[in-house]
Amino acid sequence: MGGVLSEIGLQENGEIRDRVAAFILNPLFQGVDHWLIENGQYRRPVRPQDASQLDFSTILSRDNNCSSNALMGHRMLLNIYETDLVFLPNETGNIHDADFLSFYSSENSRNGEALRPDLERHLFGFLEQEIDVSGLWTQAAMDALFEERFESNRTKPNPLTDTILGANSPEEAAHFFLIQLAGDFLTEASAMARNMPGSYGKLQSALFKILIDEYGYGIAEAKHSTIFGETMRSVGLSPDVHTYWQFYLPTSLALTNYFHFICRHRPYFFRYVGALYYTEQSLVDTTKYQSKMLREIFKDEVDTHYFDEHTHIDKYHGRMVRDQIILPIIETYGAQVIPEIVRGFEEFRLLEDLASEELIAQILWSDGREDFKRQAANLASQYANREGLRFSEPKGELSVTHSHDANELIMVESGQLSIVTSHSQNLTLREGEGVVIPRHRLHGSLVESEVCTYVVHELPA
Amino acid sequence: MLVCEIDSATYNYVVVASLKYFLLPLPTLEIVVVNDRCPHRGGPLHLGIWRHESSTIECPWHGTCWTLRTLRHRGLIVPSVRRGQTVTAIFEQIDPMAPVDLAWKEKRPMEGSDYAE
Repeated sequence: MGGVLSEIGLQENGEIRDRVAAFILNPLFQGVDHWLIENGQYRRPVRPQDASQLDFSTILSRDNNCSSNALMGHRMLLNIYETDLVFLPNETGNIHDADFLSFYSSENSRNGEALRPDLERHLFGFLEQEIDVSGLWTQAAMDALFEERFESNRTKPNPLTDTILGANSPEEAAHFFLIQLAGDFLTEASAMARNMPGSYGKLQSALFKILIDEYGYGIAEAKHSTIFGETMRSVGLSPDVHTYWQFYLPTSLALTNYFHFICRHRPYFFRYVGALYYTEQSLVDTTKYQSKMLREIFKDEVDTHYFDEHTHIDKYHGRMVRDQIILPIIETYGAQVIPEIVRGFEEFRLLEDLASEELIAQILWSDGREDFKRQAANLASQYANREGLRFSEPKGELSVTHSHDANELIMVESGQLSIVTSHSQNLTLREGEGVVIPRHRLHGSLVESEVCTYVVHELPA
Repeated sequence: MLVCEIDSATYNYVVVASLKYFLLPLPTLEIVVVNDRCPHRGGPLHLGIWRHESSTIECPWHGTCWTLRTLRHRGLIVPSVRRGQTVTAIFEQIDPMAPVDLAWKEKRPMEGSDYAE
């Protein structure tokens, strides 16, 4: 493993556990009473009760990018990175807001900074194993690779769009898709802004031109985050930051965290440039399809300005990144810099593919939840006399969204339990009913009767 | 310029426009795409001995040893990206419509090497 991550080195799990324990003590990261979170810019539950069972000292493999480790790890890492961003109390709050002060407290920053390198290694170390860039590169070879990747994006089928359009409820699936984007787009370009201070000549000015586009040239209504907020509002979703915190998938969080990661570590500047080029250039086509999909589902009701703006402006941004940043960098540092640029391009491309795969799987699970209830009915008699983990919980007990690393069968013995599969979709389980929850699929639970007793069985893979 | 995707679990040898290359998997998980023609007298490097400790490959014909660094500087290692087991190689100076033949070739046992396939 090279670069910044190798400097972090191997750490003892016990030491990391202590750092996790210190960080998640903050009341802001504890449980909540509702699925949607008001004051979400500060209140970001991470399910501290899971920490003792998770090992953050390893490097998470590609296949475990949707695991419970990934979910808790990315939630914590975003909480750490975003203490560097400015979120002010909302209009109903005040400057002595306890959440505001706690989020930006020295203790929270100190605990987060102590834990951050461990999480970066745990969550992004797999990129070093998964991707290599070899050989003697030239600008022409780099251009050929990039063009092949973009052409492939343009011509290959888009399974995510197909899944959303083909869902039993395309509206709900599209909402869930927008929620995945919201974690990043409602704070758009914040990670990029980390690269603005300093002194690096014309490159700095070229990057700044892109940043001011993202921020609407100082006009609040033109800021990309504002425009995306309008898209959310137009389809009945909240435009407030992290209202849907509990429904971000780990691979969606990874996209935001990755940009913070490579922008925070200066040696990764050249990777950042490659990742930026991939995202700017690929968004030209991607946003075109997404806009069309949203209009097909929501008709005239949806405000697609955000997507249409990117179809337009990212043609310019892609060209600006290539001509005003990448080519001058190669001219200055020679071809030796190309592998780093290619690596960033490929790393972000891989993370986007993983995010797309997980989102499809989650939509299929949530959209087809009645099928999983039927699967449980078929298994009920087989598991009736088997020992499982039994829980009795009082009315209103809300289990913050999470996932498991094995397939599970939940059977309700008495009372009523709601299993939440997305921000607006759930299953109601009454006595004798159950559901199969596939490995790695996000869900939460809420007790709806005075008391509910349910049993959890682990199912074979 | 020809861009070619190779599944390294299925193929380890590629012929493009009559030029031969082989995939050399390194213990670091990196896979490099090497021109099969030894720069000395054209020996088949894919049958050579890889020595990890010195990062060299020894040509089976005259025993000439080449470091990866030298091969790279001579342009004999093709620019490529590995993602998982898929290798995307960029063959410069090759017509994008040129024929591509992929194959799996057994290699000579790697004697004197700590590298195990």
